[in-house]
Amino acid sequence: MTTHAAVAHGHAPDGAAHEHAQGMSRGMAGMVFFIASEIMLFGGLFAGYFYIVNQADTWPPEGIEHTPGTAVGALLTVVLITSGLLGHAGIVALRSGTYGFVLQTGSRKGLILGISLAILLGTIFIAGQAYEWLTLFDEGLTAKSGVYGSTFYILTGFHGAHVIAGLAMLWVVLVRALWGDFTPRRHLFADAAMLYWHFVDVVWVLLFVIIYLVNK
Amino acid sequence: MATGAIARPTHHPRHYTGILEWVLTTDHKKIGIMYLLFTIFFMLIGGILALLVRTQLVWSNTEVFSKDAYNQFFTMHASTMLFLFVIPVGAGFGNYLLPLMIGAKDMAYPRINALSLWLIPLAAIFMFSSFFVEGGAAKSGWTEYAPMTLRTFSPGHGTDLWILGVQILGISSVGGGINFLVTTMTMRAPGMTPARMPIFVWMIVVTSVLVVFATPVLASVLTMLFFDRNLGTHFFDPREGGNPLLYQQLFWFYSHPAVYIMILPAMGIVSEVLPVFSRKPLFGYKAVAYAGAAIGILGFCVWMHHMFATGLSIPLTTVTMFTTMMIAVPSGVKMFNWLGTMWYGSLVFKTPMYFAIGFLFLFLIGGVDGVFHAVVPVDYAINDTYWVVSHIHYVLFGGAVFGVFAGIYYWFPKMTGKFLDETLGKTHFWLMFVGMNLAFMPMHVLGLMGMPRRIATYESGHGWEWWNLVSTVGAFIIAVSLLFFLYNFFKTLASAPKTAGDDPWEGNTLEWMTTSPPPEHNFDSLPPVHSERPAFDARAGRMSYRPGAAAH
Ligand code: HEM
Ligand SMILES: [Cu+2]
Repeated sequence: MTTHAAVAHGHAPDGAAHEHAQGMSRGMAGMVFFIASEIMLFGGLFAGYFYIVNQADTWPPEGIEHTPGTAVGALLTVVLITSGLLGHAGIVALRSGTYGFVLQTGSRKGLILGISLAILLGTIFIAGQAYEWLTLFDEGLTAKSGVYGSTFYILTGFHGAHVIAGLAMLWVVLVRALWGDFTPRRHLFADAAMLYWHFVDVVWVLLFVIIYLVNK
Repeated sequence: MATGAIARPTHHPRHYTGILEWVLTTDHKKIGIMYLLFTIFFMLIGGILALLVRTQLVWSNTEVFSKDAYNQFFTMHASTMLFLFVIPVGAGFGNYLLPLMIGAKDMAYPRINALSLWLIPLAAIFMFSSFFVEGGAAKSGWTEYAPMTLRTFSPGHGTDLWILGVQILGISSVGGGINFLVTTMTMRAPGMTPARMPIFVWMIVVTSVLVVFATPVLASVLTMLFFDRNLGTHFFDPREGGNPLLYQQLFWFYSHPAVYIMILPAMGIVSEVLPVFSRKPLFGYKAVAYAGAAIGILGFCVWMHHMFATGLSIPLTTVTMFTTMMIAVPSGVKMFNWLGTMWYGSLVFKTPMYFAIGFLFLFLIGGVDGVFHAVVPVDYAINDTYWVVSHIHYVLFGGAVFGVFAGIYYWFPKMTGKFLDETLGKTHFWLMFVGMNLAFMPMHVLGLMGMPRRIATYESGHGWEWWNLVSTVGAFIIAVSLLFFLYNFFKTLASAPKTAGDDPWEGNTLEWMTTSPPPEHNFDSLPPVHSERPAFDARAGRMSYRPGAAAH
């Protein structure tokens, strides 16, 4: 078989051609793998938690008087899930034009509103968590007071750090949207940030179940 | 092609000269070369530490260093070799070669790539500075098992610096792994289907999957250790409800897959070198690729074989033993394919081929003595003896290091346009091969004679002296062989003429279809890809392709 033309290759803009030729956008693929690695990070912490709970006689161990309150945990859960839904609605509003259920304007306005509310609720979540930590400190539950405190603070602390990272991403989305970035067809970064935010949500729901609900 | 693509403004990278050209570069080729230079430098440092270790062990009751210093030396020897050399060196080859081999212009995220590179020297500063802090460097072995590494037994900040260094390297390799995966997914040249990717690319992909899924677990357990040491948590402290075995579980969940992170790139290199110097296609291309993937998947199921001696339950032990032995199967498949590639080939004995064949031979020994560890009753006997040290070195030195040198001699002409000297190269090979066997074969015997690993010195009367002497002599022969390599390397860079041309070995893969060294954007034109050997097809005259002919 003979082909005459070697495939011209050198001077395509910046690989955009391939990116599209092969279906998956580069930015989103990166975010998916990044989240996969984050799942494994939490996987290690969760595994540690279960390992320790499993070999403890009672859980919480004897001598632990103060444990995190279920009501606070439930409230935080509602706040974070709502934040995820509102942020997502913002993207839907931007993307599909008419079907966003927050604002039916189908443009950046919906996105800006959705993301702002998501940021607001995310910040409330962090504040709530800080409040809870401080209360527990006062009552004498610290990371040093036995392995119960150690697991509680490392899990919620790591999660909190990820919420803060997610908030930073959402802020970038918000600022860029205010600057006039993102169109119904081009909103990669907003999508990626939102995916991360959902991941943070899901981790929290698991945390809520194992820390606040199951082991009481 | 390119229909429907959104045109973007062409990006003109700014050009720097001199040292800045290297420091600020985001070109995957320069980054790859710097990875290789850094990691080989760390190999030399790790080697010097190994010589110190071997010097102390040369004869019974030799105390050149204090026990404390000895413990730091062997811990840092192993940590340097593993975390600063073997793991990143694979990423170095990947960086240089993967975009070239799939016909891409660069990596998917060039800036993250540069970040991954520069985190390595940063981590090295953390790790090596620990020699100079009070209490010295980490000294509980590269595994840094709790509770030995809790504050009580390891005061001082050596262990903390070690943890920080390893964590930084973890971030570097996860960034690199994601970059490789996304690059391979989204930037392949037209026609480069997964079934036509070079085996080396396949092995980097599998390695990257392992990196992305395993390394974060190490990060989690090292964070717990760091908190236990510095914040007073109790994850590994049994008196407060923690459990040191948790450290081992999580540590090995990473570190078992990590042994494949260390060896798969070398297997990829060998899979490229053997066919070219046998003048035959790789025997069983698909089998080699699938075997690599199988090794990757099984690698996550067997970590507990490192914990047989901790008294796991019988069912766990049995399951782990069987999955462990199953890993021998895909490795055996690969061995079979490599030998099949050479079978009736017209072998060309250049230095890269020497190292590739050396790899086969030594890796086989390492693999066979690994199986001994998989068999639980045998493991009870040889666990924590020099048998382990021997096994580790046959796999990592005989395997990974020989693979790395095969790769260096093979791709040096592509990177520089110059050939390394053959006579010096073969001298390097033979000295290293002989030295390696002298150094590590006696360790098998020492292991069977009961010499424990990680001891600073030993009493006379066990009959260990002569074997240790042989081993130390072997170590110094290895060191001499490296001097030949370094001389060859610098002499060639300084004064050899550029005689290599574009395709000195008559290669199979796309990197041989561009100039040596390749231009900034890798290719001016690419041959169409119709098989897993596009360069071979092009050379075989199946198309009127000439390297660099178009677009000049
Ligand atoms: C000149 C070459 C080398 C020599 C002479 C050498 C020697 C040694 C010795 C004597 C030990 C045992 C220390 C002890 O248990 O007290 C050791 C441990 C170790 N070495 Fe090497 N080594 C060499 C190269 C390498 C290379 C290239 C690697 C990896 C790429 C490596 C990885 C390790 C590891 C992981 C351990 C720890 C084994 C354990 O956990 O007990 N070494 N080395
Ligand atoms: Cu293993």
